[in-house]
Amino acid sequence: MASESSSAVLDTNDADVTDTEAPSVTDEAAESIPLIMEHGYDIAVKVDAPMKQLSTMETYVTYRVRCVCGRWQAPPHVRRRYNHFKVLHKRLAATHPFIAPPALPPLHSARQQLDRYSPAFVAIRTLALDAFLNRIAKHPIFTHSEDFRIFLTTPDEELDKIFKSENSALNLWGLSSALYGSTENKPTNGARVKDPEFIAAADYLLSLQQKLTTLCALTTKLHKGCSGLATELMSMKRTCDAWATQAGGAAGRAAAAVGAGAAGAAGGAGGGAGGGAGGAGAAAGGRPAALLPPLAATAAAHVDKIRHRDAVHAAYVAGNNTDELHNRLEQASEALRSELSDWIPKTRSEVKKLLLQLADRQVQVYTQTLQAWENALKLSTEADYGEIFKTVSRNAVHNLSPSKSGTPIFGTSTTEKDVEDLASSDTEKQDLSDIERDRDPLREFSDVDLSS
Amino acid sequence: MSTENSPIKPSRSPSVIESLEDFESQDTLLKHVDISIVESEKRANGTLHVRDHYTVYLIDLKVTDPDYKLVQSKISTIWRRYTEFEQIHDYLQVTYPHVVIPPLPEKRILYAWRKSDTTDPEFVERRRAGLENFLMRVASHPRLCFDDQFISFLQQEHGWRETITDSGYKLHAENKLKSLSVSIRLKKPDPEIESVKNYGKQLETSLGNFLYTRSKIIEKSYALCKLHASYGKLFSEWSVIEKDMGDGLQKAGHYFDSIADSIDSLAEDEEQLADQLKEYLFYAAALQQLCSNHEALQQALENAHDTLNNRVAERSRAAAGKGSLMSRLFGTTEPDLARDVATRALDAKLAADTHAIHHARAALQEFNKKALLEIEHFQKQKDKDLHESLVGFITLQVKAAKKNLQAWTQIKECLQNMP
Repeated sequence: MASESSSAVLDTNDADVTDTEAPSVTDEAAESIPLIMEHGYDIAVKVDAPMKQLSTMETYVTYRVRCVCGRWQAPPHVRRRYNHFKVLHKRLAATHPFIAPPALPPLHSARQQLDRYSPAFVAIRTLALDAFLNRIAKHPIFTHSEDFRIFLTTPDEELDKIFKSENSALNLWGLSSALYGSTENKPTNGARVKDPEFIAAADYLLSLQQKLTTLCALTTKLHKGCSGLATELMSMKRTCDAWATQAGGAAGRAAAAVGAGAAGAAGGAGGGAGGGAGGAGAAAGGRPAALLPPLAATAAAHVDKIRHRDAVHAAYVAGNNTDELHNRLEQASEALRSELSDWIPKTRSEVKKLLLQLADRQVQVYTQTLQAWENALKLSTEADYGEIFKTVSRNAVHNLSPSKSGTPIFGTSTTEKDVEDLASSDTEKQDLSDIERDRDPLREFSDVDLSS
Repeated sequence: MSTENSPIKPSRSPSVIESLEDFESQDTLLKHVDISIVESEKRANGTLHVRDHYTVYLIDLKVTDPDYKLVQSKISTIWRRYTEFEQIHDYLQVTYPHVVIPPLPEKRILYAWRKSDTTDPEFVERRRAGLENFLMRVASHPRLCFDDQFISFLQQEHGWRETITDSGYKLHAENKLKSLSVSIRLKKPDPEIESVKNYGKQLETSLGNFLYTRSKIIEKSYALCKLHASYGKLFSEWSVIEKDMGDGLQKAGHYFDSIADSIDSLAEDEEQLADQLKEYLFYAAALQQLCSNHEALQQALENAHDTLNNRVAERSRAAAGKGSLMSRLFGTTEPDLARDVATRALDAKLAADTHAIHHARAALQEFNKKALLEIEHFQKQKDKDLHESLVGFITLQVKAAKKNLQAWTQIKECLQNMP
């Protein structure tokens, strides 16, 4: 992703694969994830490294697609743009009328046109395209599709010819299939088909779609709320620091401690939320936003296929029981059954993974927050010892269990400032360990023992 | 109660207090009596309009010291409403200008983060606690606690309102308000008082900012936690349509609901802490008030000096024979006699002026001595109290973070155990 802001390649025709080796070597180095095939699969794909490209007609973003496959020889990587993915999707849909290909990330809405190149949006799209391609690769039927192979293996400059020229043909094909499909979908009088198996499946898929959409919306709100909270915590930290400088004594110390706690908590909450907002590679927060909508859309697409099948069934029942219709029905039913039995478990495990990621991140957030506030508690209640022992790790302080009536050994004049320095650093842990390196903890211990 | 109660001279003032230790070892009402506000009640003025409803609070006095004679009966209770508290507070402010008077809980809700008004049961409860705190603060102050008006506030059922209005404190309060609205410019401001005044201003600002940001944080946290209720609902609905994942989803849903519920108690507890900080916000104002009182006295002294100087100039002019404007206009019959008369009159006035200066200076010194002690005591108390409040705040945050962490860990576990 670092390459996105740095380069705008003028020549769209990456004619020579070796030519692009030079800049993309840095890509490869940056993306240190090697492409390994998962157990049981003979193919692995990855979409990453979006890059802005300028051509004579327009500017657009391309994504690097890498593929390792046992079935065919693939170039190390190719660059594809969204339209190419769209074409692939259309073709897959056309070739397999009974099953729904995975859904693509949505097109731009008019408003989003303004944000087309924003890092967050591009990151989300990259994730979604990666998921899309992976689904196809791991799909028992789609993975063998010729279109898929073409998509992955054609060098960039030839792709436009194939895909573009086919586009117009595809349009016709699309039109014809729509016509063809519509005759079938005309409800014939009477026969309402009751197929409990598929009705149940359709209901489930519709509910699932709804749940996934709600989940996505909630998670987005959660992250927004978290980052809003982080901002407020930072302003509390500022208030407390100002207060601490002005007040002295115990109250000032407590104020500074609150500031420290707030800063730590802000770090935690910000970290939990900040993934979505353009962090390079750290799109952890954006993952649900990226991946849930396509899943929901795919669920809806499956429902469409079920309806399609139902229409066929209706036609079959109402019609003349022709062999052809019967075959079509069997085909459709089989295709749907196997598709759903494949898609649903995969989707379930993906959703589970996403939820676990969310939970993980929240656990992290609250662990950090808890640490920050506990540290603040120590800072504020250990009175004078807070200033002495700020250079020593907290465990050491526990071991010592000092009496409360000690006198400060080091001057108290700069204590407020020191505590503020602690508070202004990014994380509590980092700070303590930094200072630990500088001072010898044992020296502090012996000093205190003598005085008490 | 005694009729010679004047607002200027507080009766029954204890022995001279020289130092902070003396101050703290003084006898106070609280050492002999337990004061608490046990409940509140809604009363109406006869009409059913909402505006005519008011809340009264039941003050409960228990004498813990068996030999204590000051308080009439062993146990007494009395109903008082907020405006009566205001009256006793204003009275104390006027009568003891050198003391940092404990403040009342807020009249209107400040730093509100959710819609509520003064009739909310939650607010009434918080006000009850605040008024109780006010009484205890007054009762623990060696000077204030033995004031007659205060004692009768705690005990006199009927006619207290008349007694307190008779004391004429209101007139003094209004006069004071008028004089204070004119900003006081001193020729030689006392540096110590100046620094105390600035400190008070800064404290007010700091506390105000803190309370503001806290209210923003609790507002956002509240919204965030309530969002989890939606998660809970989603998960429980989802668990219905799933076979294998259903169990895990439902369990997780329960934990989400627990997160949503946990914020309510945190908000309540934090509100109490905010009340403590608000008390000191008002205390800071009272501190500044004390400084203004000092400045008023100092200005009186400076005015007295000015008057004297003017008088001296006038007298020397009269002695030199330059008459007043009137005599120059209309002439005098016997200039020498007039001159002597004028000079003697002015001499008398001079004496009066000098006397006035002595009086003012003495008042100022007396005030100074008492005030500085009060300020010292206040600072010590404030330090302790603020530290306690802030530590309480941190403890609450620790608790909340722990709860949330626990809930999310459980959620993670539930999700992991899903097939």
